Amino acid sequence: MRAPRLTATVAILAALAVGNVINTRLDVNTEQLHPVAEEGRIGKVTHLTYGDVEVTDVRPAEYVAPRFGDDLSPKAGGVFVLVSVKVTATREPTLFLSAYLEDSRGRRYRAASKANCAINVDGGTGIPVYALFCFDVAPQALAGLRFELSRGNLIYSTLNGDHLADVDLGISDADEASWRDTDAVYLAETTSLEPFELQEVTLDQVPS
Amino acid sequence: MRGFVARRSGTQRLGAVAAVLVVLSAPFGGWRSASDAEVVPLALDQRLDLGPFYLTIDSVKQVTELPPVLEEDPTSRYLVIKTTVTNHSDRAESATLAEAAFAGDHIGILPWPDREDAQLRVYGVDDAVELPAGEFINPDVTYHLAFVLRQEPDTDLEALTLAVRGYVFQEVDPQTLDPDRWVLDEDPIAEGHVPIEVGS
Repeated sequence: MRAPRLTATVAILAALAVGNVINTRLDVNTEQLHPVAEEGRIGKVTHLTYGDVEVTDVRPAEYVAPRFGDDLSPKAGGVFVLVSVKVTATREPTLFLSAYLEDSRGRRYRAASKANCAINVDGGTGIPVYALFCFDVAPQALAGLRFELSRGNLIYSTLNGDHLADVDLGISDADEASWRDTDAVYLAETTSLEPFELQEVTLDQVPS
Repeated sequence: MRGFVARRSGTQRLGAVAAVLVVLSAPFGGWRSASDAEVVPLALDQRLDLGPFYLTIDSVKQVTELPPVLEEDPTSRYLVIKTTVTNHSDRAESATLAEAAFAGDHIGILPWPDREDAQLRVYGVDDAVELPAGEFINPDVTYHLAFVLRQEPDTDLEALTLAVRGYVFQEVDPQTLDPDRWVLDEDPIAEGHVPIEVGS
């Protein structure tokens, strides 16, 4: 009676140990499938299987002022990179959930919540949506930045296998040198069904 | 084998099972050292490596108001911990990692009037903007942040101590399958009393 019990106990413990080795050593948690990048550049439409993405403008700012209310204007820790985008879902209503910048070293930058700009874009089929994304980027990482937009979610790794717009923002070394000292202030925008022009203001002009 | 086991006493069998369990706990982290790091005395202008962030406490001040964001409240004081925080990792990390790193003793903490909790509030020193919940700090970006708590007016500031804890990067978590996350250390990196300036 004791032998089967001992055998079962040893078998269970061995199975746990083997399971742990499989889980930790065989890299089962690593992303196996990368997103399919569709390269583009500023001012040109990037066609994805489910939508069109066009970066229409990119510029630096030190502050992004709130459009309404008496909120204070957030200041960038580095430099705010303001990316204006026109997005059109082409097959079905689509939530473009994942928008981020990637630098020349492959590091990803998230949009700044405190800037009160767009975080994602929700579009009806065939209806262009205009959005402004605001990223706080270290001054030494500006040159070579790329804007990436897709349906998936960066947090939950659902970018896997998704078609992703990968747009070169055309920021040169010379741009980086001048952008890092910017003192520009723009009013925040989120998403709109109408095209918008960014409004440069002084901090004194901000609604209070 | 059966005879060998049968001849052992109950205590010996129990000891053998315990030894086997200790051996088998090795891949689960059972043999990992608890904490070898030495806790250093906390000081102003001391750069601490939390894991994802460098954090330096620039000043600690008790004030009655913090314009333009916090009005004077006769029933409390505000303890303002001004810091410099830099994300030195290669990915965007949640600002709450910096907030959660703080602990303290004899701080006389009070809940906020408009909230039930007594958590720290986090403001940008350069713009006075309260950092939204879920904000991320991008790689290499530095923020000057003020961590603010509401405290009892008669808090003994000489007895007040602060502690800063760091994080361990957990590539794989066999229990939750939640990989690549920062786990808060139980022991602080630095703790102690720092000079607290009292202002109006």
